[in-house]
Amino acid sequence: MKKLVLFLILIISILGGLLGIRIYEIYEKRVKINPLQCKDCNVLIVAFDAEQARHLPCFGYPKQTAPNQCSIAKEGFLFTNAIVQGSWTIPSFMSYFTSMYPSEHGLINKFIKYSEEEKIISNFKNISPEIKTLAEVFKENGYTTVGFTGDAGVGAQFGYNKGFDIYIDSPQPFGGFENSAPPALEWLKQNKDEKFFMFLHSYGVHGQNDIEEGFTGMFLDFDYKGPLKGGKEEQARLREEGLAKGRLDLTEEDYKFWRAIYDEKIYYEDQKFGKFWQEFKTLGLDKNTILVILADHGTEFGEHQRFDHGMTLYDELLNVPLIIKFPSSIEGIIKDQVRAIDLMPTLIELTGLKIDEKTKNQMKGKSLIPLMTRQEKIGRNAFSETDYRNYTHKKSLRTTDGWKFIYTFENDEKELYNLQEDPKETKNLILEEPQKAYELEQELFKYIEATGQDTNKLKETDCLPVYGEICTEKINE
Amino acid sequence: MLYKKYFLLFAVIFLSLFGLIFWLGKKGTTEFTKEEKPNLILISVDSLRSDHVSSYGYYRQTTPNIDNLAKEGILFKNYITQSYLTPISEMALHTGMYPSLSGLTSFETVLPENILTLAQILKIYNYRTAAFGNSPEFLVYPALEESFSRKFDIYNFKDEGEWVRYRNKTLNQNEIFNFLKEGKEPFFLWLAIGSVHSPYDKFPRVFGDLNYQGPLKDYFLDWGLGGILPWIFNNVLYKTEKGEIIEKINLNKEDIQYVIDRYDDGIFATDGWIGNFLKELKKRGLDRNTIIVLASEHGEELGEHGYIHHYDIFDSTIKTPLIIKNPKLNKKNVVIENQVQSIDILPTILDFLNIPKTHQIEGSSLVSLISDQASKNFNEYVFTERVPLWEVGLIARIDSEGKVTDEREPITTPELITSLEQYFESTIKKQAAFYNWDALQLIKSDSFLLQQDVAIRTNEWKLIYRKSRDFQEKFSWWRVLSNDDQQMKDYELYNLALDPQEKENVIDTYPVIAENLKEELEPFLKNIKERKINVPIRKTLQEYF
Repeated sequence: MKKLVLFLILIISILGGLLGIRIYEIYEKRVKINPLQCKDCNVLIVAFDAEQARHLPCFGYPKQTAPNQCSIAKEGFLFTNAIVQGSWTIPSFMSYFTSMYPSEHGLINKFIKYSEEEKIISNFKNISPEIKTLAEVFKENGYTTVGFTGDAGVGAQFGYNKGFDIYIDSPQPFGGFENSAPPALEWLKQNKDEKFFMFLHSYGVHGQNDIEEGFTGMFLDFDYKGPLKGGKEEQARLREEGLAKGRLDLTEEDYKFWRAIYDEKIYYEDQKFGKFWQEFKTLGLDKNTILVILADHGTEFGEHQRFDHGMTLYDELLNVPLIIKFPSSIEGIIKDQVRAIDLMPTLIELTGLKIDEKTKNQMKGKSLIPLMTRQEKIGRNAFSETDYRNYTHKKSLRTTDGWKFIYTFENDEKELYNLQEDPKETKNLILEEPQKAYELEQELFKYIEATGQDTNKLKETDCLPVYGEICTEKINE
Repeated sequence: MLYKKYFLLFAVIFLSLFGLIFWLGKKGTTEFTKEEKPNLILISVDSLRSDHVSSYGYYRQTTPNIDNLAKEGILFKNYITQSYLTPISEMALHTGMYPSLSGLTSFETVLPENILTLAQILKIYNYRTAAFGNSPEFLVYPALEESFSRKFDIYNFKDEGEWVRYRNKTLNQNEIFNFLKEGKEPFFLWLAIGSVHSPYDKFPRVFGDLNYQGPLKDYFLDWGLGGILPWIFNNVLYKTEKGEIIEKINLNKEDIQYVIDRYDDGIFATDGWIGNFLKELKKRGLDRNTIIVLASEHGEELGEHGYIHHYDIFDSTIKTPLIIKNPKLNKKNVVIENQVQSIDILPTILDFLNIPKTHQIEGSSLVSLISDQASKNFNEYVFTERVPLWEVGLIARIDSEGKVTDEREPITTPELITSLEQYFESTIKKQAAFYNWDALQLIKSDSFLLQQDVAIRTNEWKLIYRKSRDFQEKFSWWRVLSNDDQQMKDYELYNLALDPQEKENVIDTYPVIAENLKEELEPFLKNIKERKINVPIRKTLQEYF
């Protein structure tokens, strides 16, 4: 009898142990099951071209420049540390849409060739016909894919319409939401029962747009007495001057004046988006749509003594807003570093799309879901590049522990910034932190090697215009 | 009842333990402790051919101490250098890059700032760094001093009087050990030993006929400044006076053997010094946590092609000893047959020291080879470059108009002068126009020196592409000396298994092998052509020649 009891207790202990393990596994799996999954949900990507994260209140800015975007952020996931892979439109958006780095997807400049005799515009469809875009993936999964853009850098002429059933560029280049939102709403009203993937894009904040009603100075908190007037011609002039001289000779007040103009433009685009979003909700579409708000790059107003974007890889250009709102009310703030290339695999996983092995291997980003469900708590290193107009060739690595390393190929210049102590990237620590600089350089070059780009060609600069025929030579002092 | 109680307890303990083990398993591996980095000693022995080292199979006991080192470490049977010239070959080792890709291709080119040397990398990781040497090149040429001395705390190449002879001044062990023993951080010591290099006749007689009385007895066995080595070709000694050949003395086998004996005497003496150094190192306990790499940056021709010196890229000159001792590896008396090359040493060292490798490195780490995990095709092809240096030395004597300027020129026959001037007009000036440079600048430039021969080698075959063929046909030193009108071919193929001395060009006998090697050479040549490097040049008087 005793022996039997002993035997039973032994068996029970073993079974108990095994049961414990099993319960643990099931628990783990349950947590892993995606609470964010939104199969067959619509996807709406709203792009505020040139909008810096750091000029929005929900990213810490002290002024109320974007009440609509930020109230949506409260209802969804706010990514405070989102980094794009290119610092201007043409390469950057394609990184979002392919989950590949610019030197991999190949759309790195407006022109492939620019000379007296021959001008060849870059068309993604010709450059990389075998690369699949996000729109194509949605289309292959039965979605209707539509795009309403501000033209220019995301225009169909560059192949951005690849995979879209409908792709309407605004009639005037660099159009804001006043151009792209109305046809988008029109289409939604007529097609709201269709499963859609929509790209709604605005150039409203970009330099080429003036404030319609005139600059009111609503965000200008002092009496500006300087010589600048604002306006698109002035921004273009200052941009070119900065490129030629390497730095501008403006005062802090001049820069504050221009930032107030930028803030007001953000405000107006945000208002226009707010109206669009209201109508969207009226149609009931917010109940089954994943909304993504993002930007392709920021704009510099003197943070590094120049204007505009594309020519550097500093945070004012790379740190963009990224907000993902679900039909359910799941929300959160993710401070870990994420990349533009992570968006594509995320949306694919969220909506349960099927992709082939080739597409899976094409994507260099990783789904953001583990970060949103807090299974992952460390962000990802961000590699970015710019070959802006062939005027400069730079590549950077921004690490999860807050270091930025930038390499400029035409003069082998290296920069190292400790972002935690020096978020404005003013103090180059390349000589003070030799070990960190060395290790980050080797890491950076691993990314470059992986893209397969021939760095020999990066030592030379010339000119491939972006704005009409403007080609500004660097003045070497 | 008692049993029940115990077994209930047992079950509870059992389950708890089970749970604990399970939970611990999920935690993952513990982090490893940071160890102190090991020391590194690099011993560069100039002009030592591997087939004159006993442990490589030489019949003489020339290197008892180097052999001992090999017994404590790994000997690489087929180690190939990237050039036949000391500083060019050595810099390939210090940077892990082929000469044409680092830019340091001559005695006058400065290594570009953005290319890191071994000393610079170790300095980033807080090593103390010192270089001691009696190889004059590293001091006497400003470009080389600038390139090699970067981030060495001590750079001690003493210039003692007649600098060309300071190769035989032995290094001061006291100074070296003062550096080694001082300081907490790990050290990197580079010993550049020049004593095997010519002049050969400065060390005690050990080998061969100690009573040699032949015609070479009273001559100074050196390359330059009164030495006779440049004047020996195909067993003839050409006596000259003011550039004119006044007498030809026929030499026999014993005479050449005398030269070889003196060369071996030098090896023996050098080996002795190295042995004393290593013994002292051991005595002071400094070898325990120290990696030792002994390598020779090039060898020496000893008459196989008629001349004596390092001049071309035959195995006599590019196949040299490499011995690596790493106490942590527990690899003793190991011999590796796979072909390896100079540019492999830097990545290997960085792997040993757990330092990330620079992206510029072209070589492959030997760690996988050492641990038996490399594929059979490891380093299937290696490449060596040959600048036409001696010939350029000749051309450098002419000015921008094409006139020969320097009367110290050993041979200044009117025919040679005319020939040089014509070549300048027809070829150099044209090339200069192509590059948009003035002709004299071109001669001294990297690009002209890029007109260089390249060899691709396996353990069985070597193919040499003679890019400078027409130049060598006209101005190669010994052709001019001996009036040798023999034409060269664009390609040379040597069957290393049957013809290790590379005396017979079999390019027409093995067309398939030749084609295959040419194909494998293509990407290497293309890479050099496309590479854009900005290489500063420091012009110097080439007194040495």
